Amino acid sequence: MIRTFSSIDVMYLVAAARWTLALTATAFCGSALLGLVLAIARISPIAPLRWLVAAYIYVVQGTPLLVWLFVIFFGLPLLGVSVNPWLAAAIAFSVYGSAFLGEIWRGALISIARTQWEAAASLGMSMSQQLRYIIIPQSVRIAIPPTVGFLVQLIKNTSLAATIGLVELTREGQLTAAGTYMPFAVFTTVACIYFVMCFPLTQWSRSLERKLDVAR
Amino acid sequence: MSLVDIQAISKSYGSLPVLKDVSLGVAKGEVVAVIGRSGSGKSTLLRCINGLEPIQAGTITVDGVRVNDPKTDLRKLRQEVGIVFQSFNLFPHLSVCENITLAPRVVRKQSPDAAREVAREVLHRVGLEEKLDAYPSQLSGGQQQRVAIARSLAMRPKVMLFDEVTSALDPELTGEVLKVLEAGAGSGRPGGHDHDPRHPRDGLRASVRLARRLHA
Amino acid sequence: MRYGLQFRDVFAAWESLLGGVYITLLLSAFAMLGGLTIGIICAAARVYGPRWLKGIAAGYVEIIRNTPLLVQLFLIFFGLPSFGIRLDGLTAAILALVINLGAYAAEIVRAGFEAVPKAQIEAGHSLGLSGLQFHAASIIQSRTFRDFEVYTVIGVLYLGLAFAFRGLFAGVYFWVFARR
Repeated sequence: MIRTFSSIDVMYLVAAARWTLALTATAFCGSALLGLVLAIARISPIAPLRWLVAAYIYVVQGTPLLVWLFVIFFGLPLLGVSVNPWLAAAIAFSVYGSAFLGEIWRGALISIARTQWEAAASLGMSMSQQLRYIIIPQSVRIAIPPTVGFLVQLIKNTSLAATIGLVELTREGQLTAAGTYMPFAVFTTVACIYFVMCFPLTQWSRSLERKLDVAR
Repeated sequence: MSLVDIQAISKSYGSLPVLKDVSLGVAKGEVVAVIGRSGSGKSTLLRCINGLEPIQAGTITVDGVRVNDPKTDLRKLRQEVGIVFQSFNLFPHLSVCENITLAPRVVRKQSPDAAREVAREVLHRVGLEEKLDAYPSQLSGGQQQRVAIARSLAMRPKVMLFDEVTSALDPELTGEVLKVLEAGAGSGRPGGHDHDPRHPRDGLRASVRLARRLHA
Repeated sequence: MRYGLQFRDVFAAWESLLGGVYITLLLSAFAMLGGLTIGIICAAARVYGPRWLKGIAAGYVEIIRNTPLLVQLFLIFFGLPSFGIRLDGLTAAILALVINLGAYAAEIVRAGFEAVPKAQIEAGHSLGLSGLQFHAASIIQSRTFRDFEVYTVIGVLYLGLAFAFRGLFAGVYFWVFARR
């Protein structure tokens, strides 16, 4: 049945955007947890650990997100885990995002002068105390602008989850386009919704970056 | 027996020898100034004493604890060995009070109130009581260095190491820091080193030992 | 149920994989050349152009950078036929990649013009080599029905390409900047 593209469809698309946001939030939490571990492992004194994590980051950054999505979506069932687009997408985005957040945060951590580590160590603090009280609080300021930039990338990249059948904004757009035969109007609307979600974050990231430049 | 006992230590950065067969004993309450040309290894010697730098030969013992022993808990050792750096190395994201109380609280497990009391007392000794809630960036260089001294004192160390603590300061600001050092020596805290030979003569009741063989 | 991994079928279809690699390289080459050209024009417009041109260039960059590549591709491939512009898959993909990369390249080139150090963490990633999975995968899958193996092999192929290109660019960089 062919229907016209009406304001109801726009409402449906806006409603579908909440799944894009939910997937972004899930993926960001997974990426952040794993990414923090990776960032700290990358600056650890244990060389083999550093190499292992560097290799992981190299492999993940050297392969497209879409391939990760497919490998996990089709690979999980082989391990006996039932096929669930949400789980597959959450894992794939977390794996992918952790490699990028790990690198961003490593950069922020190593931007803190070595003398800060030494001053903290000289007061008898353990490695984890030095990280927790001295290094991480100082590197957060530096890490925020690129982390917000990463969030924008993540929102856009969740569109790829449409390819494994997860009904978020892009997939909803595909379905609506198929139903209305008005793909141009539909995908323009979809693009507008993405823009509304991403643009404020992009601007925020930029203004934070400018502030940081001035502060230096 | 010496509080700090250095026996024939050697230290090199790669193929560059820095310390060669250096021995030194410092008794409790004694003030020793280590003097030598810049680049002769004075800072390195101090950094070896609290284990910031590994040594290749010889032994360093502080209060009966071997520094260069893999079994030694460097965190324990460093609680007893305070060090004040040339470039202050205060924690810029923490207030003066937090700078001073952080290690007593998280390392020595003092209660916040007790730690704050100690902070007041050590700040009084360096004449900066009124700066308790200031941030390092709001202080002059001389004041920052006095806070750094107070931060070390708050841990009640058995040994204090001063690494050219006035060399980063304008000449008119060195006086206030030197006064604090004098007062410190008077209260029986062993001291460290300074590259300006005027300082020991001016103030500290120093037993100056020129470590002739510091330079390889 | 035991599931034995069978990569043999996948490798048996090596000709399809090779074809996919070829298309990936083709897309990447076009995207980089076209994207860089647009990027330079766009950056020049934003720095030296009259006000209205600056506005258009800035609008283009913002719109592209804040929407997903996949949606841009759908707009071109599914949307343009509404206006009578019908493109085949390869042309649509090249067009989408050029337009997409142009916006990122514009930011990089502009940063160069203005000598402003910028966090460009995201920029390179839109350069991600795309296309292999769309072509090779569909061809092989229809023969083998072994998705996991197919995509694992494709992932490894991408990794190899990424490795080769990083090495290549590092070599070119060294040759151009470091040798004198």
